[in-house]
Amino acid sequence: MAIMDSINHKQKSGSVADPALASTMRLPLEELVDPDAEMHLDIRVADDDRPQRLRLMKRPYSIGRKVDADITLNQPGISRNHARILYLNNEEIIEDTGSTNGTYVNGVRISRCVLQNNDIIRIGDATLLFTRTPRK
Amino acid sequence: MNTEKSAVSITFWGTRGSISTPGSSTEKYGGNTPCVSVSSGRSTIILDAGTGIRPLGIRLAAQMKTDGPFPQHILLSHTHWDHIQGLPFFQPAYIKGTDLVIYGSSQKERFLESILGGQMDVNYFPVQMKELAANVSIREFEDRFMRIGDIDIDIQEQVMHPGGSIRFKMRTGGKTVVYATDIELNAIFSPDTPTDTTEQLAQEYRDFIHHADLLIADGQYSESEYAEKKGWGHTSVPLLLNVAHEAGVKQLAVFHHDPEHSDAFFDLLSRQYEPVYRNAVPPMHVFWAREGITIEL
Repeated sequence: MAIMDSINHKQKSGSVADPALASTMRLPLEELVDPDAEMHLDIRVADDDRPQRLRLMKRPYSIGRKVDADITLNQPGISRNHARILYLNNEEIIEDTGSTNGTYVNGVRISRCVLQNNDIIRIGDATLLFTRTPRK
Repeated sequence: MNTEKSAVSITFWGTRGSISTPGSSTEKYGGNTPCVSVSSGRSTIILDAGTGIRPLGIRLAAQMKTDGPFPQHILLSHTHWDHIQGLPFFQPAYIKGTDLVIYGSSQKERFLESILGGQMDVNYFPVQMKELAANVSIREFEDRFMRIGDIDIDIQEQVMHPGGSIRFKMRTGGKTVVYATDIELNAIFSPDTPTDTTEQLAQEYRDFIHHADLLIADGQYSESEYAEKKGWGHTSVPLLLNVAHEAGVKQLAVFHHDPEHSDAFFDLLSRQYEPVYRNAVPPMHVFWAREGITIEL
């Protein structure tokens, strides 16, 4: 019994004394999330066009063929209301809004996708390169 | 069979196998362990309760704030840690009035309730299963077929994974989705010594995935890695692709990513294999499952 008590004592005091084992250890979140990162879309409507850069401002953007869309892509194969980009919980999200020909991210037809750096969105013949650039 | 033609949407909440892997090299394909939701009309089922079920739970809890509690159905492929570890962090489990039904295999030595309750023992977690506010019901599969809302589900036990696992075939809206993770297909389709049993297992697998609109399948290892990890219960990518293509699968999501694999590695595999199968006859769309993506069939 005395030996067992000693072992228990060692284990319990060991887990408290070693800061690496403490369950309340703070994670360096500030290194993982960069709230100041700049996000862009490089929009290319045809293979030989120079892309146009749009800085995303953490607000919703509508994408489609209609003239009052935030991003108007007047191209064949693009629906009037094709897709939208949302900013939710520090994430940029693209959603297809019921388009006829679909929204693709890196070749996968999606209905919703959390965007990551260097994702290539394809809408009709247009490509939109999403980039997140740290400002630090 | 359900013949209603409503869209089926599949969301990947966790795609990583074995252990969660946060970090800058895994943020694109994700570090959370397996959890996938399949929705059709007003019906949703949740496949596995790895750490990916936590963000799903946050989404559902927010929805419940406006709509009130609604039932949750979680189907477990098996109870290895990476497939159940998110369960204690599933927010709807803490919302009074939520009917939470968890289904799993009846083929284990211990009752499913005992296994799941064990991971919430006071020594491992501060809240015990019996203290959850939701109406928790834990059921072991009694039949091979079941129906949840609009979704018909075919349940089949898998061997060639330590302790076994279950694969699910869901039919809804005229589409078929198969979830078949944690299985070593190499031991079935390319065994050192083929037997009647391996041939039978291979045929059962082919039949199960035949012409699936989407197959979500274990492809944890590259070919060279598999050579060193025979018997670990997971499949190599080239073999999975071959088997899926021969069975006429239309779209394949390679799943249960190895914790050692980075985003760059998956991009490389995708560039290597995707065009091959896109141009095959018939074409098969291959992609590496990625956390945070929803696809519609």
